[in-house]
Amino acid sequence: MTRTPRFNPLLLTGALVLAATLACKKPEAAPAPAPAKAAPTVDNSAAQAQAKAAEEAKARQVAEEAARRAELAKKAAFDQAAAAALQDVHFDYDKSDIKAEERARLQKIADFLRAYPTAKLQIQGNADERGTAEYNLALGNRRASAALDYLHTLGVEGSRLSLISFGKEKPVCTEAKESCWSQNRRDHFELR
Amino acid sequence: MTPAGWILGALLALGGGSAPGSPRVSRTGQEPQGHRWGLEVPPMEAPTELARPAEKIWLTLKADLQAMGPFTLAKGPEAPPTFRASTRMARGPEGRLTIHLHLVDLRTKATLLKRAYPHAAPASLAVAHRMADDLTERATGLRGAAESRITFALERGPGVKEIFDLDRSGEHLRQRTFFGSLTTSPTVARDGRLAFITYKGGPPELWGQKAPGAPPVRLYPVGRAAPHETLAAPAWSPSGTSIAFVKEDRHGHSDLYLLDLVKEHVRPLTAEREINTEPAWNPTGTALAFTSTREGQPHIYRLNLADGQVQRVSPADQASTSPAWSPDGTSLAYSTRYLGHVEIAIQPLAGGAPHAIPAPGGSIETPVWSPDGRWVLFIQGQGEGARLRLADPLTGLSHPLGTVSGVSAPDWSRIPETNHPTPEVP
Repeated sequence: MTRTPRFNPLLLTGALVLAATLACKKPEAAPAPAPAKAAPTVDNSAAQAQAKAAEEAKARQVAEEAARRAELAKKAAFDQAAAAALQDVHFDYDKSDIKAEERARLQKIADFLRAYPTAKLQIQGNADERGTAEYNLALGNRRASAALDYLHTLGVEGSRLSLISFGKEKPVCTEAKESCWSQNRRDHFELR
Repeated sequence: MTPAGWILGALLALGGGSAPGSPRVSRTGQEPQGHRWGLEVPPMEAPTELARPAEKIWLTLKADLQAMGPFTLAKGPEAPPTFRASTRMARGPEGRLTIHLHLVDLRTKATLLKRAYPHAAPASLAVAHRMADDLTERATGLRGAAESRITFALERGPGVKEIFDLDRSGEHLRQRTFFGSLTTSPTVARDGRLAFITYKGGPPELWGQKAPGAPPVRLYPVGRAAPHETLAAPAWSPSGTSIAFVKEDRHGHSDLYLLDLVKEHVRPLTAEREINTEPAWNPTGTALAFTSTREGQPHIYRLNLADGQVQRVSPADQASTSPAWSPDGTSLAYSTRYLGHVEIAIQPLAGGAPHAIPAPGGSIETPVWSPDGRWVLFIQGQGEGARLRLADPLTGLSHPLGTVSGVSAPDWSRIPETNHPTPEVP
């Protein structure tokens, strides 16, 4: 037996509603143009200048930092060279002659001054505790002068050297024995 | 000479003339310094409310006389006193304190000294020192040195020294400079002006007082310090118008210079290519003793300022430094190196061999005379352990003075009398 499909009114209604809906849908219209306003007068040059200044400042900061690092490195190298070169020169009791074994130290000092042409030195003459304060001041002066003369023979300009005597007033060792006294009979070199 | 003769000689000398054989502290031993006269010093009379300051002054007077004068204050039948020094503190009509001193010869009952001392400040001990010096002067013809101060550099830290002074007993330490730097080599003029070397600005400079009581100012160099000069060893001339000092140049030469404070002029006194340092004036200001290496090792020389003649004084075979002229001009004291240590030599300038003050352990150096010439002060030890020591130059006996350590470059001077008038009682 053949079954005849039954009519369903609910389905028909839904189809009609869908068709009507589709038929009524129109393409979206372009938005209406905004009412005409006066064109904004934004001055971009200030902002651009600001941005440029910021860039330049940053570049400068970077350059300065690099320079600072370079300067630090240079100073560290200078300090290292100075510490290596500026070693005390020692003397015999009541003497102010530069001993043969001390000449190498003065040569190093001369080399240092050649490597750093703007460096200036103060030569400080010292004595051990034996003898009077005033005599030792004179002796310290002779010792400083002896180093100055020797450096001069090595080509160091006198204008880069000054001297002062502290006699026995600035000992590096204060015990009353020769091993201590020998440390105090010295020229000490300080950067100026 | 008997004690009475000594006193008589002193009185004649004070009367305006110098009696033949009038007593002076002897450098040759005829009048041994060790001789002491018995002196009785009863407690000072004073109103009850002044009992304490009176006692303090009396005790100081006794200590001065015992330590510095030619007296013994010991009592007892073995040492009967020859003299009596009575003192009395009283209030004058205006309430001002006055101390009266009366020295009597107990054998003859004769008054040898009668003097009044206006005394505004009860706490001041200066009047005790002055009375002691007056009594010593009456006894010996030579003013005592109780009223004096010892000036020196004192270590205050690494590389830092300041100028200090203390009284002759080694007490009452007083700071004179406050630079916070290396400040040393003090010298005191007869009127009390102080001069010294200071490194406060870097290179050493000569500073001093232009008038008593004035603040110290830079005396030399006048402009900026020369970068290659070290200055050292200033010494006031006896007249107080100039200062001898040492200038050390960049060639290692040290020479004596004279700074004329009146003309504001500096001139060299030596021009040797060696060390010339430690100038010391003779009492009349006509000559300087100094240390020089012109013959190799350091020796003491005498420079006659009138003609520039220089003559070695110390023995040729001993290194010697740091001369000091005795106040009477007859002797030089200096440090001399002998058998590996340093001792003090006393050399009569009229001739004869020097004699030594033995070092009481370790080296001693830098002698200075007391203003009355009865004592030699020197430094024993080094650096922080350096202390003052006082010796009798005739016997060589010495003892420590005070407890301050770390001293150097001492000078011993009277407190100027202008600050302490002692009028005679009419």
